[in-house]
Formats: sequence, structure tokens, C-alpha cells
Amino acid sequence: MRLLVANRGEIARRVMRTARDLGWTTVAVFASPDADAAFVNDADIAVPIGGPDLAESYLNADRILEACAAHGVTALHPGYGFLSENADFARRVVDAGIAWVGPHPEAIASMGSKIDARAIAERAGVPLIPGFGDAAVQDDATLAEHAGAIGYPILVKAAAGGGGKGIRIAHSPEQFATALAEARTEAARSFGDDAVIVERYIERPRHVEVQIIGDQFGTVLELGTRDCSVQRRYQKLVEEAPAPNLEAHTDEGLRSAAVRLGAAMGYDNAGTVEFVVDADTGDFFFLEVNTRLQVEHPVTEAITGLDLVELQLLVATGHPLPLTQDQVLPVGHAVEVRINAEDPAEGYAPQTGPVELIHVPVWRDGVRWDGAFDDRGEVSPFYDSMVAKLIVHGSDRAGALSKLASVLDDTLIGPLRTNVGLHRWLIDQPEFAEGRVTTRFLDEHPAPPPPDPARAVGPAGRAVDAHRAATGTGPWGQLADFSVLAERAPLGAILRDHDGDLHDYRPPVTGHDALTRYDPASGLVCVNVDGHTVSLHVVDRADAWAADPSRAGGAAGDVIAPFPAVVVETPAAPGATVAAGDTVVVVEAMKMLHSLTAPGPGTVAEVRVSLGDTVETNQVLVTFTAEDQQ
Amino acid sequence: MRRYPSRVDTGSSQFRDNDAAYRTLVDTLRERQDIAVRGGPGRDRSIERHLSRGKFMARDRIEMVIDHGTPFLEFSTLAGWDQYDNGAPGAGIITGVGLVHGRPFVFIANDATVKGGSLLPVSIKKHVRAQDIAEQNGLGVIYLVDSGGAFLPLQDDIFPDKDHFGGSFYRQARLSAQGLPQLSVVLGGCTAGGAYVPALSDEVIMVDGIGRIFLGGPPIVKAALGEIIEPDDLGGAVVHTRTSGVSDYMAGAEQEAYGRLRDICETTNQRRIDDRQGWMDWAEPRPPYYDPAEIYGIISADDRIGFDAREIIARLVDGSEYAEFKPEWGDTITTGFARIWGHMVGIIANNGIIFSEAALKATHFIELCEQRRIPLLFLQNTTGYMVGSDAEAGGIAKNGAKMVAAVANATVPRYTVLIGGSYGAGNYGMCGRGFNPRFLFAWPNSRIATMSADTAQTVLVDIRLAGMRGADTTEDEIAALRAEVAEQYQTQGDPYYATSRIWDDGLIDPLDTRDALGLCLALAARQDEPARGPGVVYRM
Repeated sequence: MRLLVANRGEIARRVMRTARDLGWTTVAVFASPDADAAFVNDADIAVPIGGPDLAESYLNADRILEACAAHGVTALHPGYGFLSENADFARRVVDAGIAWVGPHPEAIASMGSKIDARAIAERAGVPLIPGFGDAAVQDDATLAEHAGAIGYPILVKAAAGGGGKGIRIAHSPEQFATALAEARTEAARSFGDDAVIVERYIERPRHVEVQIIGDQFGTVLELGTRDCSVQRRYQKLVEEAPAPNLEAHTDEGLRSAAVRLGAAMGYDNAGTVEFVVDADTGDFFFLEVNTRLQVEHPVTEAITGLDLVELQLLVATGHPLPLTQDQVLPVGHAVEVRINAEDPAEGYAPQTGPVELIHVPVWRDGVRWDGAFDDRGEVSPFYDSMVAKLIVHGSDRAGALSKLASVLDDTLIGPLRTNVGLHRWLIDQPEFAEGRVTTRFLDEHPAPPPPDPARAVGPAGRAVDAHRAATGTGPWGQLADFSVLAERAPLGAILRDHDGDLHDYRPPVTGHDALTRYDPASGLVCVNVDGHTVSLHVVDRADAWAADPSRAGGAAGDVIAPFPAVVVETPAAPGATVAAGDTVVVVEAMKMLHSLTAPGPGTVAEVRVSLGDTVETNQVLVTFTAEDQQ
Repeated sequence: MRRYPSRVDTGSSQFRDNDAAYRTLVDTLRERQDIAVRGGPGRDRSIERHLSRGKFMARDRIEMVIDHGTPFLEFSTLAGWDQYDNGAPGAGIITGVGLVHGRPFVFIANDATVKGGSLLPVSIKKHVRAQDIAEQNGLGVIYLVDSGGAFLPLQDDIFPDKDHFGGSFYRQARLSAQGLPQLSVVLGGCTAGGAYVPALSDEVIMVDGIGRIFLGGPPIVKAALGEIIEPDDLGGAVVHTRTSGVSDYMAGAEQEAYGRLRDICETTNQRRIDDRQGWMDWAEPRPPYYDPAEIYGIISADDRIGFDAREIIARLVDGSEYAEFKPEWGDTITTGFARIWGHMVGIIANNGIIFSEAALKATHFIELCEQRRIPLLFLQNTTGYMVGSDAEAGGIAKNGAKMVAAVANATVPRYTVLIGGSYGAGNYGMCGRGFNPRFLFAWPNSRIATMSADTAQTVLVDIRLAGMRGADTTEDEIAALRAEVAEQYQTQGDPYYATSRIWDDGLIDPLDTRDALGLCLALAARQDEPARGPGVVYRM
């Protein structure tokens, strides 16, 4: 078998890992910014499919199908995102005689439309959130009328939506018109379709989902629940399995509803049925079905011991599921945190740049790292900000969280800023620890600011010094603090923080040690402070102390004629502010023009020459007002 | 090589007494070093004034220049001790060796908090000695200049003679010509002679606002020409960097100057400290097997009781391994091979009076080291060469002379540590200061004189009495004479008297000795092999 993974980053690597385990050949397709990416190196065959523009590469069905044909691909796994829920693409793959690792295209198509999905769910007896959605009925008045009947607060969202786009909330009839207009505009922009649905807005919603998997013989199994309530901007950050604190009847109801819905669709691969659970009542309502493997699938794998990609490949190639519902026996509790290149304290602003250092204790039992790279890599601005997923498995929820805390305290990722510190902080928040968070948690609880880099200077300086002391075999390399006096006051490393501020390390510094890694080649030092990675760079003193260019050369001196010449230009006038290097007079001598420049920044006091003047060597042409006299 | 089997009983009362006594000596050393670093009459005020002008202390300046996390081997920290009413701690000048971009340089940094940075006779001696160290060890020199020039009340001891101020400029010019970079940062006034330190440098940085260079300052200019001018307009950084070209770079602040200096050092094409040239035998360094701290308990608190130098050697060398040469002959000197911080050295150490056999063995061993290109380390602890009719009849004069001649002519690097007494011609044969060892360090228990105070009392009193022949001398007069001689020898034999006059490169704690020697040996290893002498090994 030869599997092409039409995706990139960590998910491409994760899918290929299982394929390789099964003895399959793996084919990667990649866009030019990913030429050196780990997933490209992992693959047996790697096919370039275009430039950074998504439409040209990872969304380019033609190029991907060409690659399939050129390399004799027998199965295609779409990963998540990109073309994974594109029914047309799935159809073309199937028509090309290639096994599509996903549900049949009709299932994708029907679940891709919120309106169709609601209809199918309703028929399968899956509770729907009270609402109204009809692509044909979109006039303002009718929608407002339905909103009134459902009862406020009301959620207005794009019918073709996803990813949190095209969603607005109206708390009262007065807000409805605005919410509707905004949702439509965003829906049209994001999805090319401005149809919306209206539904009840749940004040304290939890996001709970059920993993299902079906085969081509009519079997649909559920593999348990997941809670993905910790979200920012409607994107999941933390996922766990099973969902905590569910009443037995809720839990049972969710799982049976998911299987009913799967069966109704003739579902024949891995999928996720998403629900919103009202934290106050335990009522649950159908949200949508994701007709693909999800980012958070590893938590289900951790507790069931199953390899979901393996099952996907099996059923996609026409095999029956190798187990029955009775054989699905979840053990313990698993938590996944998404490690994103973003700065939570700055409104989760995406970060791009190199990752030069990753230290994660993946060797510990029950710790899994699904990363786009293992040690170093680059986060480019073209793609998603998710760098990796870290999954821990414990015997129960408290154990899993405790292990996660300990793993995050032993984790460093730098110098790119990520949200690891946010995850560490989250574990200490009582609502999360008690399993009571709703999807609004991070909106209501601002992310903690990054720690003061000064706290990392001591450990970082010690790490740098320890390395220096260990370099070279001779005494000059090893006797770091040697002195014939009782003591010295050596100047340690100078460290530059993320904001460019400089910190002097003066040993010895007392205080407890923190997890620290130093890469002498790049000068990068990463220190774990409260679970955050603080990245510092060792700066050569010459650079640290280099003159500030804005005051280069100190006060401006006079500009004098270097040789006899004729003045041909006087661009600076008295009172003009000049920077060092600005031309103030141009003279001509020996048929050559010479620009005479300001030696430093300042204000022109006097221009003592005019055009056409002949000047002598050392004649003062322009004077300046000293800066400190201004 | 095999480990030396130590016989020291570290549980004995004698060991404990010795240890306690030695710790007192080290405490005294530390106290006096501390005074040199920040003490002295009126020093607090001058330090405060210096810092309040935004200037850095001389040692801090050096720390800012050298590579972080690297050693600094400072010389003669107690120069000037108990001279000039103790008003010149450290002689007002800091010298030593440190790394910049992995390359070793000698630092000569004026301490403007001592007598305003003016140079006393001993300051000049320390300055010149640092230049000699640079020449012998092939090191560039960094001058951190912040000096008011010669201390005029003592100008006759500073200005005219061979190794006086002029000698420092002579050396500076010649060091530069040998390819050893001479770099200056001007951090204060450089007037008259002082102007030549930067002016003779290969590259000069002036710090704007504090650095000034002029052959004649404003008062002289006013007296001579009637011209009234501000110091900065006469010889500030702007004038010299932009107009006269006396300075090559201007820095807005001291830090900026040190950054620039580090950049300059990087471009000097000097060998790095780890660039061993291969002619010195080297192996991966190992610490001594025996605890070096036991040296304190081995050295007798009573200096009339000797100690076995091999026990000291075992606590200085790698793995305590010592391959002794000719151990059963001439045993008042022990000779043998060992490693210090990986570098093989030939060690010559006294175990008491030097007899003819010991002198001949040492001569033979020096010849061996010269032939094998192995540096020599002398550990001095001797009352001198043997006297008496047997010794004279045995030719001690010519045998001692062989040793002295061999030491004088050895071309391999030589290092000396005074671990005990250094008396009489023993000082010469064991590579005393007059024999130009590359480095000479002394321990706080050491004594240096033509003879011990006890001997001197007898000898000198007898001579004086002989000179007063016929005159009546009372017992009281004789006792007074004895006391006077004893006093003189006690005072002048004191290691602080010696180190104050820079007869050594510093009094050091025995526990710093192995490291200091290791640093010194590493400096030699990056140099070319010295030209060989005749290299004949005569059996004596």
C-alpha cells in the first residue's frame, strides 16, 4: 500500500508514523516553505506541489491528484483542515480509484451543511439546540420572529460556518439586527455564503464530543467522550477524555446519540459528533459532525489503547473494524494541550520564527508529543500556529493533571513564544482543576502575563557560566572564577530578553534553580519560569555596549572644509535638525563633488558659506548647537 | 608515572597545629590583600569620588574587558605594602593576565583611587614587570590609562634610571615591534610622559568626557603661551579622535570603549590560549590525588623544622604522580617529572641544605629538561649551600656554580615558587628573581635573605666586634647589636617586605599555586618552542 498524506506539520507526521508501522509506503506533498520540514523528511517519497499560497499547494486538488497518479498512490489521508472535509475532493479521490481515508463523500457533504446536518440529526433522534435554519428562508423578519420564539439570548451563525467565524450573539431583540448583519457579512466573506441559522445561546456551555468510527459493513462504534471546553476564539486549546463531571444519563445519552447519528449516515470512517452541554442542566444539543480525524484524537487513543489512524486505514481499505463495542474499554484519563505559536498575554497574537530548542520529557511514561518537529524548526506565517500537541495519560483526572503540571515544569520551547505557560497556569485554576470550565473560561479569565525575564537571568547566567567553565581542557577554560585574591566580582553573561532589554548577570546569584538549557552555538538560553519558557540570548559585550546609533559620535562638531574647494550646494539651513551622516554642504574640487556630512546629530546653528564661495582647508563651513544645550 | 606514596599523618597533633598556624598566615594575607583592594588612608573618599563621577574601579574595568567566566591572574597584589606610609595600596596599579576573545593579554590598569593614580617608584616597577611578563610570554598589553603621571616628590626614583619611566616606553615600543599588540583605553588624564602610553600604542580608544591627552596641561599652556583653554578643548576625545588623530576611536562611555576594545582584540591575530604549539608534553589534566589543603598541615609552624618537599609536590601535581629522578643520591634536593594542569614539568625542590651531590644532581636534571624541552619548576626551601671544611674540600663552590650556570642558561620556561626559606646563594641556584624565571610566586611562610636571622646575629655581630677590635664592648652593647641585626633580618626577610618591593610576582595562598602555575604553563604552551641551548647532558 502506498499512502499519500495531503497535509503538513504534526498531523502528516502522525499519520505517516502509523502507515509506516503497518508497512505502507508514505508519500508527502509539500509547499515550498515546508521543503525542510520534518514531515517531508519523514516521508519515503516527497512531492513538491507549489508555493506558499494555499490554493496553489495544500488546497490544490489537481496537483495532489497528479502526485497520486505519478507515484502510484493507493490511499490518501487528508489529515485535518485543508481538503479533509471537501466532499468534491473526496469524490475525485474515490473516482481515481484511490482509497479515501475518511467517510464516504456524501457523509462529508451532508455534514458540511449545518442545515442538512440538523435535519439528519433530527431524524436520528439527536437533540438539537432550539433554533431555526433554512437556506431558503433568510429574511430578517422571519429570522427575528424565530429568535423571539426560541428565546434570548440568541446565537446567529453562518450556515456553512466553522472555526468560530460568522458567529454573533444577541442578548435582546434590540441587538438582533446588528448581530444578524455582522454574521452575514462575515459568513459571506469567510465561506462565500451568507446564509445563517439562529439558535438558543447557552450561557454556560461545555463543548463535549464523541469519537465514532464506522466501517463499510454498517458497524459504527463510539470510542467515548472528550471535553474541549477550554477554547480561545472558538478554537480548542485543551482537550481531555473522558469528559469529566457528566451525569451517567448525560454521558450515556451523548454516546448513544452519536452512534445513532453515525448509523443514520452510514458512517464508514473516523468522525466526531460535537455537542454543546449546558453545564447548569446537563442538557446536551447537537452541534456538528467533523467528518475527519481530529486534532484531539490522541486523548481517545490514550484511554482506549487504540490507534485511530490504524483503524481509519483498515476501514478505508475495505476491512471490517477489528473490535466490537464491548471491546472498547477506556482506562484512566488523558489530557492534550495544544502548543501554539502565540502570545496569550497579547491577545493570543500569532508568533512566527524559529524554534531552536525543545525540551519535553517525552521519555516519561504516559507522555506523548506529536510535534511538527522534534528539536528545531520554523513557524512560518503561511500556516496554522499549532506547533505540537502534548498528551499525558494518568490513572484518573487528578493524576493526569498532576502529571501534566510536572511535565510542563520540565518543558522548554524557545525562543519562539508559545502558550505553554498558559497551560501550566490553567492547571492551577480551580475551575479547570475541578472540571467546571465552560467554553467562555478564557474570555472571562485573562491569560497570565509572561513572567518578568529578570527572574530567568540568574539560572540562565549560571547555565552559561557552567558551560563556559566546562569548555576547554586547560585551566584558562576551566578555572572560571580564579583569582589570587579571596574573591572577584566577575561580570557574567549579558542577556537580551524577548523585548530586547539587556540584563547583566553578576555571579554568584543565589536562589533556587530552574530548568535551563543553553545552546552555545546560537547563544540561546531557555529557562522555565512558572511553566513559561523565558528565552534569553547571550549578547557579546561589544554588541551590548555598542554606541546607540542615535547618539553616534557624541555631540556634533563643526563641519570644516577638508581641502580648498568651491561650495556647490548647502542643503542644511540654520535651525535644521540633522542626523549623523546627513549631508550639510557639497563642495567641488578637482572636478569632483564631495558631500560633507554632520559628524553627529544636532541642530544647525550657522551656515557660514553660500553657493559659489571658494573655501580654504579647515575653514569652518557649518556649526551646530550642541545637543545638551538645546 | 606512579602516585607518590604520602606518609603524612593528617590525624597527628603536629599536623593540626601546623594547619592552624598556616591558616593564620593565610588570614593575614587575605586581610592585607583586602586593604590593597579597597583600603588605605583616605581611600574610601577617593573611591567614592571616583565612582560618583561614573567611573569604574580598575578591577571592574578589567572584568568588563575579559571574557566572562574566565580566570584573571593578577600580579603583585601587595606591591607597595608598608611603604609610603601604606598610602599606595597595590602601588596604585593593577596588573595581570586575562583572556579577550580567547586570547591572553597582559593588563596594566591604573587605579585612580590611589594617590590620584600618580605613579610611585614601585608603581613603575610593577608596570615594567608586567611588560617584561608580556615579553617573556609573548602577550599583547592592554593599558587602561587613568593616571596623573609621575609622583613628582619622588621624581628622582621614577624618572631617569634604566628601569624607570623611560624604560616602560622603551619596552612598549619594542613589544609592539615584536608583534605584541599595545592597546590603550584613555580613561583619565594622560599628561606629559603619560601621554606617551596611548601615543605609543597600536590602537587607542578615548572615552569622551573623561579621557584627556596632552604633553602640557592647561596650566602649562597658560604659563608658556598665555593661552587659556579648557582641558577637553586642549586634549579631549573629540580633539584627538577627529582632529589630531592621536586617538583612533572615541567612546561615549566606558562600556562602549570596552566593547570596542574587545572588537580590536579579536582582530589582533594573536594565538588563542588553547592553541598549544605541541612542543610541550601535555595530557588531559587531573586533580591531585591528595588534598592540596593538606599543605597547610605539612609546612612546619616552626621554620627550624623542615618538611619533605615531595609531600608538597604530591599536592600540587596531576594525580599526585611524581617520577623522581636519581632519588638515592643527593637527597637534599628532590628532582623529578610530574604534570601540572596536564603540562609536564621538571621539578627541582629543596629538602634542606644544598650539598655538592644535590647541586650536581640538580645540574644534571636541568640538562635533562633542557634536552627534553620540559619546563622547569623550582620549589625553594633552602638555607643555602653547605659550608664547612668538608664541603669546601668537596668543591661546593664549583658544584654550586655548575647549578647556577645551568639554571642561568636553561632556555625552557622556568617558574619559581618560594615555599619556605630562600637564603643565600640557594636563592640563585634555585632560580631566584635575578635569574629571570617567567613567574615567581611566594607563599606567606617564605623568608628571603642572605642568611637566616639566627645566623646573621652570629655572623654580623662577630664581624662588627672584629671591626671594633681593641675597644671595650660590654655585654649590653653586644646584646643590643644582636637585637639590631635580628630585627633587620626579621624585617627584611619577611615575605611582605619582599612582595612589597616586587621581588616576586605575588604572595599567593598555597592552595592557589597549582592553578596559578597551570595558567602560567598554558601561556608558554601557545608560544613557539624556545631556541635550544647546546643541549649536552653531562654526567656530574
